[in-house]
Amino acid sequence: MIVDPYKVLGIPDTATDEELKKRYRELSKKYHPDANLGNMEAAEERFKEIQEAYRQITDARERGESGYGRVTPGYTPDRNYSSGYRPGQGAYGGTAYQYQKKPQQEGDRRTYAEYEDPYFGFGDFFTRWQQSQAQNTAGAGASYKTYGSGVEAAAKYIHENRYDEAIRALGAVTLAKRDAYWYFVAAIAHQGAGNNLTAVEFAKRAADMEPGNTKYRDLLRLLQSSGQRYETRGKNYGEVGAGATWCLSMIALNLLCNCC
Amino acid sequence: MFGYVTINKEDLTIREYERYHSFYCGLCHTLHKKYGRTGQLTLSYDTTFLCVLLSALYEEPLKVREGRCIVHPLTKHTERYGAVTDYTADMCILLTYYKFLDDWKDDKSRQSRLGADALKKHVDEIAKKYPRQERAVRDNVALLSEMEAKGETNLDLVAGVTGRMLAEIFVYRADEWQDELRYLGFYLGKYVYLMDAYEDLEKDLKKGQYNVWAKERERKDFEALVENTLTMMMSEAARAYERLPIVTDTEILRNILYSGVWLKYRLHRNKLLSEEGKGGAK
Repeated sequence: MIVDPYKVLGIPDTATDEELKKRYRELSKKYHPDANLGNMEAAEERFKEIQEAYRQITDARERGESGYGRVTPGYTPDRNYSSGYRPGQGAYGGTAYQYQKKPQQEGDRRTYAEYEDPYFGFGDFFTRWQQSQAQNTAGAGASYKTYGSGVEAAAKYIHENRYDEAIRALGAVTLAKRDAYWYFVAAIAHQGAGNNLTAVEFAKRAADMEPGNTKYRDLLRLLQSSGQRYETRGKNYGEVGAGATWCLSMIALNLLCNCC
Repeated sequence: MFGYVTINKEDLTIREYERYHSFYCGLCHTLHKKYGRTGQLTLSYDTTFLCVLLSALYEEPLKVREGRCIVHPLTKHTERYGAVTDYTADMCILLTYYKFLDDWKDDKSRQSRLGADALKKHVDEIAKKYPRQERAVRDNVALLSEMEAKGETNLDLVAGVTGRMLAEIFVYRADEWQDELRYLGFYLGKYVYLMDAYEDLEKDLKKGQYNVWAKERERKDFEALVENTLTMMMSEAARAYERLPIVTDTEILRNILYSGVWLKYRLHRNKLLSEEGKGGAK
């Protein structure tokens, strides 16, 4: 984590979102390795720092906090991404298909294990989703350990952003043994895998099974927060008229309508 | 594609509308130039959104041209296009081709077969240039077909297939923007799939055809469930958009993401409600 991300970008913490974005664009262009061929390594270091600073500030602002926000793991975009897309193994029933990428070097990413975070750092699904897309599932090589099945194994997979495997590990627990904690961990795994509906459903279940547990309530609130932010912003726009029809609207737009 | 990811014209200024229109026309022009009349038929609002989005993100130079088109030959209009438009045009062909193949497989529609045949040679070229995207479309169309045949009812799972397909389309290059774009494309894809299924629900139920919403249909709070589900998808997509450092055409992009995408939904709801009022439909 960067101690002073605003300083890295050279802007005050009162900068508007637009000013932040403009500055980030400027600096990205300046320090992009492709634009610094004579000095690639140093430029790349600075570029990563700038990216990290931008992400940190964006995360914090998204959470509505001022200052530097919660600890999030570092993210290194995999510039060696190859077109090695292929669907993962496994049947349906809760598992998500994943992209395969070339294995990353050990130590390229910091894991959650480095941070004291009882919530598995779930405050930052976005980064975690990104990282899970960079995963190479089992069979690709020695870089990735297997943890078996069960809730604790799932938690370990989640720490490493391996949501597909977490879901599989959770699936091994029989229905009767699925307690509130199971649903809590499963909610996080599913959100990470992009199954946001399942995630909310499971978070609700956990909170219902243990109403006194604030961790579970917090997770549910977090999962629902982006919907609320969206609806607030959406209020800036007008309602669609009651008498309107689709084709009339499109004709009004003067656009080619392929449907009628 | 489906045409849901469009603008809410009433909330754009005239200048913003014309700018959006110029991207649409620019995409149409590019499709025609590269792929002729058949190519133009693959044009959609959803891909126009992608064009505006990527153009704003990459801020690459755009050519501006005054042109006429077949649909409105009497008025001249502005066209804006660039490298991003070329990419988007290729994605239009890809998506339409596999949709044709899928339709032909399902309904044996001769039109779909002819359409697919007309596009095949272009798809072969596009596949060489963009293998990652081509694989994503091909594999996910096949996977979706499989899931629908099996009667899969898990909304996340089924919608996620279209999500993954669109996610790869949205990733123009394997660069520092790819993850945000992938996230945006993924959730937009889920939205589009679920919205399309919702619109087709009554028709599918009547014909006894697969629809992912069928299982939930009998719930008392079904309409609220649909709206909440769609909102959850759009909110994630919008979130990804807000993270991208886009400073151009933000009014158009936000208009689409926060308002335009709901146009068809609201119209469909109004239609259902008015049918209900007349004592019909439900």
